[in-house]
Amino acid sequence: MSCMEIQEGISAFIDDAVPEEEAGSFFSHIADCEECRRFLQTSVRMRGMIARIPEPGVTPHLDARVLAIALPAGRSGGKARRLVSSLWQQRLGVPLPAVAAGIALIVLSALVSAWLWLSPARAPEQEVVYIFGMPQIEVYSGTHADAQ
Amino acid sequence: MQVPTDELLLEEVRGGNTEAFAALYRRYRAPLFAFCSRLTGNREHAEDAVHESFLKLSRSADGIRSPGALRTWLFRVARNESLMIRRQNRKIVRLAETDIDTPWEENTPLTLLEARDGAAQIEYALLRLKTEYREVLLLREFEDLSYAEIAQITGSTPSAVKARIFKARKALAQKLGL
Repeated sequence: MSCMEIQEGISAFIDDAVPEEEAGSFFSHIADCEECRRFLQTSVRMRGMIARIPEPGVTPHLDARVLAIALPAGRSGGKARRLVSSLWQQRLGVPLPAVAAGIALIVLSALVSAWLWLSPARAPEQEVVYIFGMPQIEVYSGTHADAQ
Repeated sequence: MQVPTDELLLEEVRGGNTEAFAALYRRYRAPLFAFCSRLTGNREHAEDAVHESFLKLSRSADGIRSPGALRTWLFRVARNESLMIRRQNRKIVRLAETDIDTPWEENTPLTLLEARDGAAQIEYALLRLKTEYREVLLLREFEDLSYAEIAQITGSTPSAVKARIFKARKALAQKLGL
């Protein structure tokens, strides 16, 4: 057998695709052949490197696309929402309605704050300035008419 | 609780059970997406390939002859869809008269110089393998499929798969400078 045939056999052996008894001939060859021994070491090393590659995560967008397939046309969206919701919960451990309620609360707080800030009925801010030796002066930040 | 087999879930899908369809999707979405993503080198193309695969499952569930080999069926369809999407993308790239040799280079922020750690380096080297080598190596190393199963997915023979995996390992070692 040539080195190429031996190395093809080694490649199959590390994939559990060669019976033990057949593998014996490869190992007796490896004992004397530096090139084939290096191929075995490299293959095992690459396998270890490949095992460390992180798995690409599936996007919620794909979940929604695929689960929409499952629904017959014209059926209500309730089923799809439940399926997507269960996938969401499986991945993040947070129920979808709880997340939606949290987002709604944040948006509502932002709207209330904006309304309060932009409200025209705000009273002019009053400041008191103390100067020793002078009578008390009240300072208004609005126009003269506002102060009246 | 006993986990339902693929065969049972497929039977339910044939009867129009959407929960069974979702269960099969949950079971296979991660490995199929990872396989398509690594085969095309592009997440959007991988999404399209997985979507098309499950679309075919919903339409052809009745025609799957051996329900026990659903995994192999899904990977075969996903592989064919991935390759078709990649071919279409290449045509678009050619029509646009750009000088990109491989469609993934545009969407992969890695270069060999940037690939500092081993995982990124080998991922990049895998992307640079010939498709016929990459697909068999991905199915063997990540999915732990047998040569016979890989042969079914790629439309080949177990002995041809054995030879291709060997050549793939030699090519990968060369690209990694090992």
